[in-house]
Amino acid sequence: MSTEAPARRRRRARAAGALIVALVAVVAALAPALPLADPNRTQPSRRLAPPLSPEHLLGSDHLGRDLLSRVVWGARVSLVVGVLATLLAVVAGTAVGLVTGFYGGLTDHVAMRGIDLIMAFPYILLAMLLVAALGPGLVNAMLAVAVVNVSFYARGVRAAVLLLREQEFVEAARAVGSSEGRILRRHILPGIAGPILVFVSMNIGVMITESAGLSFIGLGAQPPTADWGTMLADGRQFITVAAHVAAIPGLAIFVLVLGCNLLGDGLRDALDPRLR
Amino acid sequence: MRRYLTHRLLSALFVLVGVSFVVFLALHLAPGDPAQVLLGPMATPGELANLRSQLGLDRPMIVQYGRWAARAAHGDLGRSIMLRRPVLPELTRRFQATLILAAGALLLAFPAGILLGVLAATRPGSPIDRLAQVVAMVGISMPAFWVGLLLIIGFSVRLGWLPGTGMYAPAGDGGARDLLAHLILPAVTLSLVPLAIVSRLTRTSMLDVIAQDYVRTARAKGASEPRVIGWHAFRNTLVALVTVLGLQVGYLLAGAVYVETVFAWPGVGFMMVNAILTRDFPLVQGGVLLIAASYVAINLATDLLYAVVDPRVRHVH
Repeated sequence: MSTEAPARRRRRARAAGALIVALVAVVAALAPALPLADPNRTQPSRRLAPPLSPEHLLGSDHLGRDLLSRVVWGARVSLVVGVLATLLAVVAGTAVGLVTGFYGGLTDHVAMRGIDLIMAFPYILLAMLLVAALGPGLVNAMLAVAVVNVSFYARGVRAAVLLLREQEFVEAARAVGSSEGRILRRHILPGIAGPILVFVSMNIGVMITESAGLSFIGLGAQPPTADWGTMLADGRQFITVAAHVAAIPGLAIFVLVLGCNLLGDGLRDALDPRLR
Repeated sequence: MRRYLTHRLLSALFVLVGVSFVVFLALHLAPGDPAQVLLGPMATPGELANLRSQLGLDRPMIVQYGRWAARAAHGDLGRSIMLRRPVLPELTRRFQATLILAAGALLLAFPAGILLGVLAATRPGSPIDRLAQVVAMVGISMPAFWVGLLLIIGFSVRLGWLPGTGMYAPAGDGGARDLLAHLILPAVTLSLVPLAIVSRLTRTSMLDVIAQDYVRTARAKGASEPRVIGWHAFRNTLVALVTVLGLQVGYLLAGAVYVETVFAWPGVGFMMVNAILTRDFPLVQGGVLLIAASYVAINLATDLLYAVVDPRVRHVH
């Protein structure tokens, strides 16, 4: 069987993913400059307008707010929360993974038992517990999603460091008298950049869905923030009369997450052929 | 095997104690003084101090944890602030609903996912193989709370075929038929992610196994294709499937939160969301503890099952 057709399809899928993510990012970045209605301006006389009505391309919600504008502004929230949560998790997870993997010993043992403990919680449950402790809100939801994912990155990075630590070039660096800090910075860190990128690309879609989910159940972004999860929750009450109010923000989440996942799959294939 | 069993049991116990400590600590450190909440803003410092010592809140934290854990071990999880009832009976009632939902989703996801994965792996590059890959990609990308709403809009609101909220009809007889009708939409929604994961995993591990020498040998000996696939190849993907089964059961118990919220399914997840929003901490603690404990138990069972399916595991340490 020829392997060319699947390879071409994979390249196409990756390009489609990149296109979706880039498009959402550009629209989100340009939101203030776009000719859109104020996402928070209420117009009771125009409530629940269907899509394609004059002045409201995607219709309006139960307070008469323009859905197109809210979807665009909501993209900012989802992207910022997704990216920030990922960054937090990556930085903390990489730090833990580097230290435990490189130095080993008691630190490693204690940290790994702690991570076992975190992983003993079902993912969503731990995020909910953290939000319960910190109080509902967008920032707390983002923190919760980040904390839950630290263990994922710490484990991955630790495994990668354990492999690198035994390589000959690290031994050589040690032999010529490089300090441990220099070995970590110059030899280990560049070596784990690839795997980290693969983890990020596979994980960021989950982060976005999770934050939207927490907002949907009322634990994340609070009204009147234009956030996809909150918009979906608002629209729920009107599904009998105006289904689009709930359907559209959900579609936005789906498209962005699909884009991230397609891109992630493609990056993984390109960067780490073993995982294919 | 016995040493492996002891080792796994001990580490599960360790994790369980740790989990209970994390649950206790998280809500203990949460802002808000329970004594203040109970007595209201007019309470004098003296009254507050009195109640604190009565509730044991002035004791060292480790002592407080010990007392709470000892009571929890005896099944006393305290009383719900909102419901004014003991937490445990409420939890068990809710847990049953969650289990029914999770079982429904598993019964849909595993057979369908395995079938799709096997069909895809035995016909690489075919339309069914592409379909399997699209299903996997779309399945993990769709947020469950959105899919649930779309199903309600389509099948309950527009078509009126199936009920879209609750577990039983309010005026119904509470029979199995009624339950089944209410179960279909939430179970389908909850099954999407595991369906995607199972079909993908089955496909990859089948492709792996089919390329192995012993499969070629079986074919060379003249074994029929169904026998090669069903007996030689599929059996070896079982190990991977058992692992994912354990992971997915855990996912389903907690992932049910969104689905339960969308469908107003009276499970633990739906209850916990409300408990968090009303700051009903005993109920939150009990709920987290129960789900985390069942998760630990499931992981333990998976590891043991793993050792049965694959004898090599017993000796790896």
